[in-house]
Amino acid sequence: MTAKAMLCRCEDVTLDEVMEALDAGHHDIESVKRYTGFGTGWCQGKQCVVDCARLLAQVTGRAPEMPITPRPPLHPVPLGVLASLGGDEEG
Amino acid sequence: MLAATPPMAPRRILPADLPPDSAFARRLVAHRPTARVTVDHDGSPVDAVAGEPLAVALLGAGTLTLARSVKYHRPRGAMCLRGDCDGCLVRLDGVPNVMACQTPVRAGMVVQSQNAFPTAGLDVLRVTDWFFPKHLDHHHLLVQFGGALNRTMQVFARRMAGLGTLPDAVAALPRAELVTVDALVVGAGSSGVACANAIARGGASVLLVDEREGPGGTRRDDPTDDAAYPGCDPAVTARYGAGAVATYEDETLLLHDGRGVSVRARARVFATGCRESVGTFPQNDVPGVFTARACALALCHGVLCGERVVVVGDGPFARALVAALGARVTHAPGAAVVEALGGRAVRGATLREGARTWRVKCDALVIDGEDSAAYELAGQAGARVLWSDGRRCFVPESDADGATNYTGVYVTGSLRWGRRAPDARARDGALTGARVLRDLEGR
Repeated sequence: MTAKAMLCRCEDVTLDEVMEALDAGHHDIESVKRYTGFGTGWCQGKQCVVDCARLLAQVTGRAPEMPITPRPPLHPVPLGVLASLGGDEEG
Repeated sequence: MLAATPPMAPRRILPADLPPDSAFARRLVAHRPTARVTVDHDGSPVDAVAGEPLAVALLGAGTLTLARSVKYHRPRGAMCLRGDCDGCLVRLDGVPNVMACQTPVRAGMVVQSQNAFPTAGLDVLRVTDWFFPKHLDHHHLLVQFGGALNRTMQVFARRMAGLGTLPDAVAALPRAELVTVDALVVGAGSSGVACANAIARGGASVLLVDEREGPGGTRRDDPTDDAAYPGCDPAVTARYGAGAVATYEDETLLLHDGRGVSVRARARVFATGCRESVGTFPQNDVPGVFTARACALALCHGVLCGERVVVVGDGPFARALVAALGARVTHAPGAAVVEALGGRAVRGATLREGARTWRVKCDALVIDGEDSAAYELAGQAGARVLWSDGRRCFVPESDADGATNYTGVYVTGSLRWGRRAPDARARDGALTGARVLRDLEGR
């Protein structure tokens, strides 16, 4: 009953949901991301972007275009660490 | 010394359990820290070894489920042990969202499961998962309601979803450290060390960083690799337990011992290697599904990730696991996973090879699947990232030496080429290091 295939574990986005996005005409990573929210969890796509790209390559038969820009931070960072960077620097 | 004390959890492997002439036994004796400590997990004491990754200690105690997922409240546990999956975030000493796989064990740690009501083992919000057997498209569902109903749904959604709760107290942090060097090398595997050495020997200042507890990269996780890692040149400044989390223009932010370090470097080299994935199949997120590298990594700390382990695939980590453990694991080298079985934890899998489909029972499903280039930081730094048909992943574009299209940004080692032998990776690192030196002198 709950045999979901999880494409994006952080945001609980299933393979089924991504296939629905493809059926709706979203054939690039950016649009699939905007439609399903995959790749927007704390891992920022470290796990799921390549899995989605492989799926797109398989379904569309084309090489996926540029991936979504991997946003910082790469790992969860306490806000205090960002605050400790200080404001007196040029930045 | 450990063998003389009372036995630890059943998933612990002691050097005394192994034939003394095996590479794995030699490695376990050579690399294993020995101070036994206790940490608290949701009120229960867990036997652990100081310095090992917290997620590995919890696995050793047989604790698979550490959290619930944000939307369906499905059980979550460690899968990659490399900071890539979402499985091992815990609340540690009152601080939320700490990666248990990246945190070395200290005595007296208090570990709590996250996102679970009432507990990670039994979470009543799991009903969300059962109500929406295919999926719940909240992005498009919530906008359909107007006014009061939408607000009510938002309140419900906020309670249902989310990641952890605020810390118990506001921690006072020391100011971030500022470091300026000629070159920063991210990743202390075979290529990163060789690259940093080449730069240092040419007279430039170089900082080598890695989020792991020491150098070696991929080799740290191979239980059959008991050879010494190539050392760093004394002129290289190395920081371990220091992960690069962001890079922008000439500045890179490291997290080192919980504090920020801002590194300014004219040259940035990314030797970040590859990531592993289990692939997308039904129930791929159930606790007890691991990458082969995760299983191998835990094994290097003397922890077997299950009592009944099935290894699928024929990659280097699967082969190392079979070489180290022999008949203690079931190996299906040519099989693919059709589906994992089990609700709260893995209890089996359906496998397929050619026309044959069969079921296996297991409490750990270990998969050596396709790896992919860890391109994220190089991409953030400005390198152009392109799809590779051969490797079926995104790879930063680079010239023969590893220079990217973005001035001062380089890539080297497995990140560029995929997995190769350690000496080939080291040669590539040295090649890139020589190029960095030439460019530093030319600018």
